[in-house]
Amino acid sequence: MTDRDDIEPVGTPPGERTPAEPSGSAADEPSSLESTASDVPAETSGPGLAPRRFTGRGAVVVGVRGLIGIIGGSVAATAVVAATVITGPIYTLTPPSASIAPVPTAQERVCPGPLLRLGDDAGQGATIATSVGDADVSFQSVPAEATVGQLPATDNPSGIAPRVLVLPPGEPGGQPALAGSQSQTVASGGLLGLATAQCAEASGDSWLVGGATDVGRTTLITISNPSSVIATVALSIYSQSGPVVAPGAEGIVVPPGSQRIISLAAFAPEIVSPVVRVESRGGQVVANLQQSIVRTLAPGGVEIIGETSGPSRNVVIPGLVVASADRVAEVQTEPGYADVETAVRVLLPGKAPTTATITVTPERSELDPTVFDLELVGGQVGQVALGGLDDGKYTVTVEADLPVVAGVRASTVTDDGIADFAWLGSPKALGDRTLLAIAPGPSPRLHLANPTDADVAVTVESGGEARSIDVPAGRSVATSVGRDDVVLTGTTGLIANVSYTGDGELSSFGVTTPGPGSTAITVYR
Amino acid sequence: MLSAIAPRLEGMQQRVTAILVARSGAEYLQRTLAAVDRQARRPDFLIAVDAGSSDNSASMLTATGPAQLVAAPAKASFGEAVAHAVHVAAPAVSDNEWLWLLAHDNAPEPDALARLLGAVEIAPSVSVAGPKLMGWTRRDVIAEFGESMTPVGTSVRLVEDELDQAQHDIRGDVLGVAASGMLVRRSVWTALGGFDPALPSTDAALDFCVRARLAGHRVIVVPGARVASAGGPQHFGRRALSDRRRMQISRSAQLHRRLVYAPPAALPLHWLSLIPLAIIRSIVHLLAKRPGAVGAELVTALRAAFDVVPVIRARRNLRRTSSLGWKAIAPLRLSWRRAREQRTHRQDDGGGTGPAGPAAYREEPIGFVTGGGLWAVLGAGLVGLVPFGGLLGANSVSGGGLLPLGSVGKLWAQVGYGWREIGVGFTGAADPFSYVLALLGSLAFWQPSAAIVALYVLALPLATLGAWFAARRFTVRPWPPALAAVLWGIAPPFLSSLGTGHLGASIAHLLLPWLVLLALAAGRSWTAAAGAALVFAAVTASAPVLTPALLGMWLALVLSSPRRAYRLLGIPLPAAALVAPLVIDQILRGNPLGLLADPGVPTAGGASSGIQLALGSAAGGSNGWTALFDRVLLPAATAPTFVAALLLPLGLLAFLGLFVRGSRRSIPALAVALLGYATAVISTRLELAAVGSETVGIWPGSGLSLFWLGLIGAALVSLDAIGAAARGFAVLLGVASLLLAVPLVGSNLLGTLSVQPGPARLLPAFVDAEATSRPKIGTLILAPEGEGAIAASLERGRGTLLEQQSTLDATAVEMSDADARLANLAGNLASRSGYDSAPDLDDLAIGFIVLEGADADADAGAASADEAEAAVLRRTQDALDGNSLLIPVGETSRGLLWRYVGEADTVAVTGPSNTGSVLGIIVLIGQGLIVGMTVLLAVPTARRRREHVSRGTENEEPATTFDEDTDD
Repeated sequence: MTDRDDIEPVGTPPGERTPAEPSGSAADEPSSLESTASDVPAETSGPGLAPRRFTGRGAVVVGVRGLIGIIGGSVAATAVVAATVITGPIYTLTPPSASIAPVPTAQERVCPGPLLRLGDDAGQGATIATSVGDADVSFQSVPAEATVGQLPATDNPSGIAPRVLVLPPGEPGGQPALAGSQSQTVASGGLLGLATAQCAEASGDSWLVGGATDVGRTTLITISNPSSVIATVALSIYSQSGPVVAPGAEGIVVPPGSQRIISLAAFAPEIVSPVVRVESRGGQVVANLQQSIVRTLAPGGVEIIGETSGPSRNVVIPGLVVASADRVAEVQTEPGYADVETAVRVLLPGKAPTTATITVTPERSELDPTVFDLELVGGQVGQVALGGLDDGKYTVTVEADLPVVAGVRASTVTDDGIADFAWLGSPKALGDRTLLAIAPGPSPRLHLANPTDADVAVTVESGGEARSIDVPAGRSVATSVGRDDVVLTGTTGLIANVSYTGDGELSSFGVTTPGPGSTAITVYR
Repeated sequence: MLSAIAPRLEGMQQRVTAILVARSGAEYLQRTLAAVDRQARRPDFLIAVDAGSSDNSASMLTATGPAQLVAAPAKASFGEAVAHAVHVAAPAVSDNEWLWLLAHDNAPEPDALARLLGAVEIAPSVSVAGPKLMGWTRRDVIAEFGESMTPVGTSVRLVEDELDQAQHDIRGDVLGVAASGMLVRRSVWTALGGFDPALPSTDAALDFCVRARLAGHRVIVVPGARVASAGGPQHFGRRALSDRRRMQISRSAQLHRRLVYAPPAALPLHWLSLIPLAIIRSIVHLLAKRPGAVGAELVTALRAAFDVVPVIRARRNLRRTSSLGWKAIAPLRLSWRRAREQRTHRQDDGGGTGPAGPAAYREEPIGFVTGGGLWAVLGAGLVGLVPFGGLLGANSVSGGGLLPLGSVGKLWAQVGYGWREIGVGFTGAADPFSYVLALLGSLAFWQPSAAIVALYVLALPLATLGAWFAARRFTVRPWPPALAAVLWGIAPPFLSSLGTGHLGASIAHLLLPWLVLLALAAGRSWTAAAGAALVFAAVTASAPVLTPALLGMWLALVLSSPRRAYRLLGIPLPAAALVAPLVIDQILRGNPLGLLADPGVPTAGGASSGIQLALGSAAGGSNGWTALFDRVLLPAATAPTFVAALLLPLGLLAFLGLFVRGSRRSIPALAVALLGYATAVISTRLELAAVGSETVGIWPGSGLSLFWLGLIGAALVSLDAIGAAARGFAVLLGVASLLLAVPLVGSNLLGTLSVQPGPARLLPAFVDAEATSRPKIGTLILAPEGEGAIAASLERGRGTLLEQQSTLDATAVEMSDADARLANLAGNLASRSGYDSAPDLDDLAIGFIVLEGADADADAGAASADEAEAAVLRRTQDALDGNSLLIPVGETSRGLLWRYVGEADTVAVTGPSNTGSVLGIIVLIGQGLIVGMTVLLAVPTARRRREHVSRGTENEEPATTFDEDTDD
């Protein structure tokens, strides 16, 4: 093997030679163009003999080279332009995936349990929450019958634990559904009023908007762990002045099958407008707030606050019922009655500030919505009163550039001064089919808000009868619902709250369909 | 008594029957017939045998009016034709009857027969006498004069192609004589059964003479009797004979004789040694650059091993006729010493006729040191320390497409065909790249990953070195190779490939100059051709996307030098052998495009636009300048313009190549550049692999390396051509290119380097610790993908290593049953589900589950961009948390970790290793054979003939100018 071979081998017959350029080092021939005549095979005579003159043939060769160069340049330009202009993949693999429908599992709903008060009848044990009476639970399920049980353990010394509704797993694809709610009217033990709540599905991350821990306001957190593993719960508490640093708020252990009851004041005393996030590792939990108000000595209402959806740029809260607005306006000037006012509470998680736009839309479509802005500081809870609303039903929408969490408080006051209040949240959007279980209470009413861009027609089946309700895009409707089992279909994307309105009684709970935990999931390899 | 006297009386009158066998030998027959006719002692009978002539030989024979004209079959050998003639000859009447064997091309001199007869007359013990065979046209040259055997039975012509100066006329007794012109006693011929039919041509006469000797007869050569001969016995009736065929005939004859002559006890040994000997001899053939002889060697050995009937027949015949032992003929055999002398003698003769000598050019090549090559390499080494010096002392490199390598044993366990342990695993073909990795890793057998570290640290000088030697072919001046070498060493696509951990593309860049160097020399030398084939295989294995372009270049090379094509044709062969199983697998799967996918870890490359690619930027941006501009607060949008300006000298010089002298070199170079560019563009447009739901294109860096190769080649031609101005251009080019590479070279300092000294840990420490005691423990990795999906993958032991990657896995178009099972498990684990996961977890030996991205939602407000992803993450975490089978471990470097304590001793089902199935072994042997033969062929054994080297631009086409073959 030789390293180099670009020489003429001696003795090669001339006829076999490739026509060669004249040889000789380039130094002899500074001008390459002049030597181009040798491209013509006839002039392969010898090295360094290229004449320094422009001959006719030389000109032709120069022309040919120019042509080659132009062709080459065009090819290059075409290539780059083509590569730039023709975009998009020629071939794209479709990543293999499978849609996995999880094996149906028993569905569980955990109700908040009976209403609680701190201290017993004798005024002892002021740090221990004791139950007052028991709640009525309603539920319905398809296709099988659900069973009602109790959590095995609770912090409540009376031993009345939250109800657990269990629907056994059906056939795969059978779309079993289960819904339940509880209600309790109380007038003893320093509690007065109506409290209703949805029996909820356990989750690992819940937002609770409502409550207060200033004087006369008691807020308890109930955390139920229906699972078979230990839940380790961390509470994040936000107040009007930012996140509350609370020792012990993390690492709260909830043993399997038990309920913990914790006073919010233990972590965050003197908070007017708390928002609580409950995160759990290990077993999933159902968390609720129970707020009760005592103004001096007069009980001012009670409410159980359920989970609201996590941070979102568009929070829709249907079912705000304003009743006895005139009476409320009268009493709110009295000391201790400031919180009878209808108010929106908004938390902006994170650090950056933003402005939220709050729209209060009456359900009666002929009335105009009220719109105003609320400045929000990152990490702080903002609260604004919705004054001047006439009696009626409204939907509150909170829009912001950054995701926010929001809730609404409404109150009613009778002529006798008996007050009650309700907290409304923004439940997660519904799936296609919604089961409704209406616990006993005065004038239950279903409020459906349609935050989507399309009109939705919902079929309501109740007591064997079916009717249709139109929910126009961007609007809300309300319908009375009886104690009969109600099944709604076509509810995809809607947001629903149920309200109860009575004389000196006001309450509300959110309606949700099963979370994504048991829907089909796409798995890539 | 009478019978004893009768021959003696008759003996006074020797009777000679000449047997003239002709097959299509009209051109010789005229002279032969005339010579026979002119004999001083004319044969008593002439029996002419026409062995199926296709010309007018038969009519010429008839015209001479022989005693008898016999027709023999067209396929009959010389010996069989003679046997036909003897069969029809008049019955022998005495012991003094002789047969004189002549072929159509054996023209005896007038006194030949007389002298032969004279010689046998005075020595009654002589039964076979051979004349001195002379050249047909060169009548003073001895073609052959007596034959013998070496101690191992190789037949040897005692004299061959020597000028006749009577130097051999003292000879008498020999072991054998040639068939041509042989005078043999008819009774002996009959008794010995003539020539062995299993020896159709070569060695038939020698064998006959040996048998005659063993039967107690003498065999002599008669120097005075001279018979012209046009060729050896193997040429009988054949127009032309290839080297391969000639070798096959003689080897076949030798093996036959060996089996026949062997003592019965040694026969099994000889039989068993046939194939091993054939293999050893094949290796020798390859080392001696005779690849054509290998096939013949093996075919011959197989035939000898299984075609035993002729051997049995010949042995029986030998046993029947032999009366003396082998010792009787031992003195006539050629001793080793003499055999060696003879061989040396002939080699010297042959060597003298070569084209070497003072006529050839004697010009020294540019020296590596004097030409600045050494300085370029040292400089590149220093530059290379800037980005990769931080890797020094590390055990492995990670990041980008890099992972650590396993032990040497594991590396070699991954080649060929067998169980691919990636994900749930499958049985399939390995990427050819696994061979590259195994070789690379074996270089640092104590810690294979260190080989990658070394490759990184030495990458720039190695690239520079290769480019310098390749560039030396293209220019006459001393400094352009050094310039080209530096340009190649700091080529942006190369730095980009290294920086992003595209090992395959980096290796391809290192090897491309060598491929050019060897491929251009391949036409002249088997060594270079085999070397080119090996480098071709390595490049296509490392960067499969280059295969179409390289095949195109190969085809152009073959077409441009058709006379040397036979050496070039085999260049893609080893690559084909390595990739063949993968090709079959991919075609069976209906995804042939998947063959182009990059081997190694599928990593999403920066999709580059046509303009970016034209600027040599493989990773998007503008070779790092965009990021750099951003950092120093310059408008980033101007970066492409700036880079284009820096590339202007290279582009202009390359383009100039079309206009200046030397366009026959620059046009192919620019064509290569175009091919490279097209490859790079197509690379970015083919998304063949997938990681989860994300598709991954082919890394365009490999195509850009080819692009750069073409540009530098064309620029070199221009520099050569433009004369005095070149120096200025060269300085400009060098400075601009160095400046261009600044962000990529400084990527370590700028923090844009993807690769870093590797923590050898791929999985969380907890898993890693467990895997040291349970090396096959599985870890299920779940990663949320957008739109409510998750990706599930499985890693084993301490994590999937680089050599375990497989393009078959990365380019899968559908889920296998095992994939589906894993997906089902993952889907249920990620959901509130009633599925009993324990059997699956046990069967797959999964001990851990990692949920990736689980720390991303720390700030709920900021993570909202991917709400769907966050929702899936939440759901999966909730489901895993709520699963009583799993114990949460906590947060780790790779996400949240759960542990599953099942049946601790379960081992996942695996398939056969690469040596564990018949198919696997066949693949390994096939690939090993082809690559091994190529390696043997590539080992330089011939003396280098430096005196032929020269440089200069006087010829445009370096590769085709040499006509002499250098090593065979």
